[in-house]
Amino acid sequence: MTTTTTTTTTTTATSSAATTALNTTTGATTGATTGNAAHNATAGTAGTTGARGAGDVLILGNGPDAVRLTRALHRLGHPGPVRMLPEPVVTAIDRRRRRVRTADGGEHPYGTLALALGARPHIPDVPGLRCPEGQLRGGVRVGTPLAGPAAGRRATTTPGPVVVLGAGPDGTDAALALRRAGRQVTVVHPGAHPMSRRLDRTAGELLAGALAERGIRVHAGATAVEFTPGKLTLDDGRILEAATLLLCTGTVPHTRLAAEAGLPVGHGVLVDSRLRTADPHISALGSCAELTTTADGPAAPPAWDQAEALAARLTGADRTAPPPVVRLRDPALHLAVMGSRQALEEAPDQITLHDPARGRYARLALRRDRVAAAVVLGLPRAAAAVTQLYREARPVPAARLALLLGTPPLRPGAPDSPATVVCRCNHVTLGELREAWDRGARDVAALAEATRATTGCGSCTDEVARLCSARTAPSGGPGGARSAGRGAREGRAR
Amino acid sequence: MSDRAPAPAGPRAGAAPAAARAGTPGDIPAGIPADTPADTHCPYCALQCGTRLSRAADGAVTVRPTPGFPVNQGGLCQKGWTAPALLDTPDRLRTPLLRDAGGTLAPAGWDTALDTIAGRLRELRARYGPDAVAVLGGGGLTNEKAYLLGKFARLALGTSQIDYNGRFCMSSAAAAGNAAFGIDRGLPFPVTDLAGAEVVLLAGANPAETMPPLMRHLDGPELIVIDPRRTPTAERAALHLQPRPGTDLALALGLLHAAVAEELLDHDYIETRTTGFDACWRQAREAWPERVEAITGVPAADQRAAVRMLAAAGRRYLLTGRGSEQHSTGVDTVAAYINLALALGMPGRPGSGYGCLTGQGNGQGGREHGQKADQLPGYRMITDPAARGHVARVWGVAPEDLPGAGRSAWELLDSLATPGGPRALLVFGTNPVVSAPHAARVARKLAALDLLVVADFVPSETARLAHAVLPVTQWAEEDGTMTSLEGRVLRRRAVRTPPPGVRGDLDVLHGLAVRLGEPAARYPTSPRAVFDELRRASAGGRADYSGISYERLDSGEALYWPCPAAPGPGGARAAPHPGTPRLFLDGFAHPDGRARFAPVGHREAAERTGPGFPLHATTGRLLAHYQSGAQTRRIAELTAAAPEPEVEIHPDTAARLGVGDGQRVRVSSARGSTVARARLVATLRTDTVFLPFHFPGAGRANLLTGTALDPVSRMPEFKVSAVCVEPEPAP
Ligand SMILES: Cc1cc2nc3c(=O)[nH]c(=O)nc-3n(C[C@H](O)[C@H](O)[C@@H](O)COP(=O)(O)OP(=O)(O)OC[C@H]3O[C@@H](n4cnc5c(N)ncnc54)[C@H](O)[C@@H]3O)c2cc1C
Ligand code: SF4
Repeated sequence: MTTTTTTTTTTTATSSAATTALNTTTGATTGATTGNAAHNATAGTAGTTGARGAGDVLILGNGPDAVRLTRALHRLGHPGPVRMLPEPVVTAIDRRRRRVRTADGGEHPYGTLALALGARPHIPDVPGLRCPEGQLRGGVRVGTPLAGPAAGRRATTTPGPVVVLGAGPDGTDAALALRRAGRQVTVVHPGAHPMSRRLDRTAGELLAGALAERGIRVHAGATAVEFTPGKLTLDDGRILEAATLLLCTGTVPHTRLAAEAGLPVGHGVLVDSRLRTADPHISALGSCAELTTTADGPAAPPAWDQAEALAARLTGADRTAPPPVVRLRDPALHLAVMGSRQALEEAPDQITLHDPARGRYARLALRRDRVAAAVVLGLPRAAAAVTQLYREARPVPAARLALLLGTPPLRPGAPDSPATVVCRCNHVTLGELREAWDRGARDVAALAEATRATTGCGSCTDEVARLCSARTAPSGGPGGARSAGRGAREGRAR
Repeated sequence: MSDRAPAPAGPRAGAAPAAARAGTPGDIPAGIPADTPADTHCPYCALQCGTRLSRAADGAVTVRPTPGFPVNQGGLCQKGWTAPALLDTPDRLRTPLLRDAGGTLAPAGWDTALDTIAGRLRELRARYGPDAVAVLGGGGLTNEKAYLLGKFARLALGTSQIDYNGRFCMSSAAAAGNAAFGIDRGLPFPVTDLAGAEVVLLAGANPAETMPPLMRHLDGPELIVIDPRRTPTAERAALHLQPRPGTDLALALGLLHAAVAEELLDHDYIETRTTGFDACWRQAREAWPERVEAITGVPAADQRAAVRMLAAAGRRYLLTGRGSEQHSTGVDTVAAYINLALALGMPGRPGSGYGCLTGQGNGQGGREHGQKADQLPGYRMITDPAARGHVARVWGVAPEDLPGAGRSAWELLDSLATPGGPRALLVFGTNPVVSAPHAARVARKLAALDLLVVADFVPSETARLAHAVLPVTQWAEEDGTMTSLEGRVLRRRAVRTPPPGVRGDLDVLHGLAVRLGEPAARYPTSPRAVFDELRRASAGGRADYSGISYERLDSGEALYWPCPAAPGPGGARAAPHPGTPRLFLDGFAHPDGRARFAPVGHREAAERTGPGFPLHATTGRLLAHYQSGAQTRRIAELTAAAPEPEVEIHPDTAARLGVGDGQRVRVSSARGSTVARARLVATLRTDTVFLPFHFPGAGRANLLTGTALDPVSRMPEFKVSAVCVEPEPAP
């Protein structure tokens, strides 16, 4: 038997050391779970041989993506064993024999292999970033996705100006968070404007403007050539003060094992929308995977969705993971980007709304009534609505301006028809109220007595009062509005 | 099948000879003098609006709102106003019915009916054991009936197989509330407190339609409404969040995330009054509002705005309804909302709090006194040896004689007539053929039983399938108590003698128990006697009623449980315990006095839309009807307001399907299909349709709903199914 640290769990076990440490909780609420069917399939153990059914899932990696997948499988009652193997101990994937080999000579057979290997930050080749020993020099930090006012404070505690290298979605978010925390921030970005791989020019310029408005300096079209403590030199010769240099220069998916096993690899391990690699027994998810369906490189991986979708597929459902959406996390700058630049340019049906004065921009590229790609900026509701349509591939509603600008609240303002229901709680129509008036009910209380209008939730009281004043001579105002209901017509058996 | 109630044109019930029942033992009041108004409560929902009933000499009953009753403040909804018509419904059951050899339900005398039923029950029990007989109760039964039904099941039948329809109603909120606070009382404060709030967040509740007079207390506060539909309640809101059905849990997590990220937490409160925040936050930290936006469709900006509104208000409440609770993630969803309320320091503070809007008339009391599979009276757990000991003592049996925990409502229904499952079912106060999920399967299971007994006052859809039907009293013909959504115990009072041939449920249980060999004294037939026993059985439990008496209630005291018999400070001569209008002000009901955050993470609904079933269907209630409609569909005025099932659908979606307003459509899910008229609603999400669940036959919304259950509460997923819609040719 080997000493490999395989984590074996079954569908009901939730407390193996590794999963506990990573806060896996199935049946997360307190209190006893009543009558959950106990599957308790016998777990496969390391080193055993023999062919495995597809239900026998081995997950490579033990980061958040792996934990999410494990949890989702448990929850969906996955009938077979689910094992997690941390990436560093794995030496090779033997696809032919469906086994994973570990450094200690162990062999781990699988039915289905899920690659959740994660990614590491990409450190650009700029002189001065590293110490001679190889680790990052003081003042150089790696950016992680950030949100909230506290995020900027968490990003760096070193006082002084910050330079953010790279204005992709993560760099832009980090710059905004730091600025919200009151820091002096400069962004250096090689493209023509921030998020240049994702945004068309109009949107990019609006975004640059929005950053500038918040006091963030943006150096577009520039690259860093050297870092010395406190200073960053750019290719155009400018020198920026940088007490902190925050690297937001992308990630490098861990693809080595996949590549060596002969799986197609691009930036990440290539998968289709069902998260399948070229090998039917191997899937990949999270930040090590690259969807072949989005032509423009990895977007912030929708890890929740991918774990849920893969777990659903492995437990028998036919599920695709929704396509990723880039969404900035600044609370006041609402930017959502869907689909590739190419799709944005090429889709046949284009809708554009451009309101530069108010920093609002929306561009929807539609194909067969579905959103193929979109950029939505400064329109928080539209960002949400278009994201839903895109992720679910649902047809865009006919009222397209309403989709972008919102539907006005539906208050039809009581059309003057006798059939209009004035009191919804008691289903009293305008006609019935007029009739009651004609029979002598001349104030709200009397109308309530006669018709029961106003006696439910009471919200039509004003309207009934208005009806009174409209019918009375100018002197007769509404009156007694709130006392309504006390003397309503009696409900009678028959 | 046509089930439309004809206009009530039958003979006046009041014409029944008033003295006919004189001398009958039991809970049936003998002749009540005419013109003595009685203060009682509406027969329907958990608001339990106060109603004053008067009876004219000819027997006709009239209703008015009870002056001064604070909950409805002089208001009633259309259901309350028209309730007296139910007393005279022409197809009222007036005699027991037994299915004859030819398969038709034929009138029978009470003795014959009870002898026959008891005989069959004895046979089945002898052959298959006590769990071969099951009981399904309801949240509309009085406390007395619910209590005696639980006792009857455990002692006379010796079965563990008893549960009630409240599983379909508030079980998720109950489980989450118990876990967080140590006690589950719908509103742990009087309804009237709401009026003093600055902000109220309603998650999945539509009181403007389902409990209109409640809105009188929500006039002042700004409302935040979370509902996939733009309901009349949502129309009144300052902020309406419209999530995709089935994503409520993600939304609740997103709101907590926003509260943390915006630094709106009440750290002192978290520190001194709660435990478990860190574990809860570890689960929620991934739910940043933009991610939640992608899943729910609720703009991140609106999530933040909602949390800011709540945090900025001094007095604020967070209330959940079925929209949050009727999911396979229901307990976690409510727990996530409670986490938010705790993080902002709301529960257990004067003028603020968390509550659940109970649905059924006695949904609260009905779940406290022993008709739930795992509970004994006083909200005691049946698995707790001390609880068993106490209740066994009150009942005069040995603790070992009490069965253990049984199956939850859906699991119970699904196990009927399966090997090892019950072969007989006694139904009191519920209509599962219409209201249970996957209703067609339930109907098949019921049809396969050896014995189905239904006690009801109208021939409900379930009664029509029964082997034996027992006609029982209705609201204005009986005495008892109900516990409303605010935990206040209310008196239900009789104003009219029931028609001859009708008996009270307590009487029925007594008659059956005696025939099953039980001592007669163990099953009192007077509600007061049952209540006095219930007080003893509940003493010392979470829901302690021992200090509440008919005398105190009749003298006008407003008593909220817990209300122990033990006098307050000052010893035996002190005033009786005043009850507890507001819980948690001094601490929560856990041993350490602290509330518990629950570590809940994101989970999806059990069913997703896909190519075959591209739309979400969600179900709910209409203003004009109540629950399965067995009562309200018999009232002409209500049937006129909502005569038949309509499915709400967005005009765009309808246009794509070639469906026009008012056209008949077939809505189908993986379980079955239902037929309704399309009603185009432009404020609906284009991916969602809505169906009311009040209608019978082919119009049952529950033909669509699925059987995924919450792992803790066993609540079915009523609020989201994947469906498709197509035009349906005229019949
Ligand atoms: C199909 C069904 C069957 C029921 N059966 C029973 C029963 O047998 N016995 C029983 O005691 N009670 C039952 N109930 C519960 C009963 O309706 C409640 O007791 C009732 O009082 C609920 O009131 P409500 O205000 O929550 O209204 P409801 O109409 O039930 O729902 C409240 C609101 O929730 C909204 N909503 C729907 N989906 C969501 C969502 N995902 N997120 C947020 N809001 C949402 C609806 O649009 C509705 O406006 C049932 C409810 C339903 C829907
Ligand atoms: S149905 Fe509910 S809201 Fe309507 S009158 Fe009855 S108790 Fe009041």
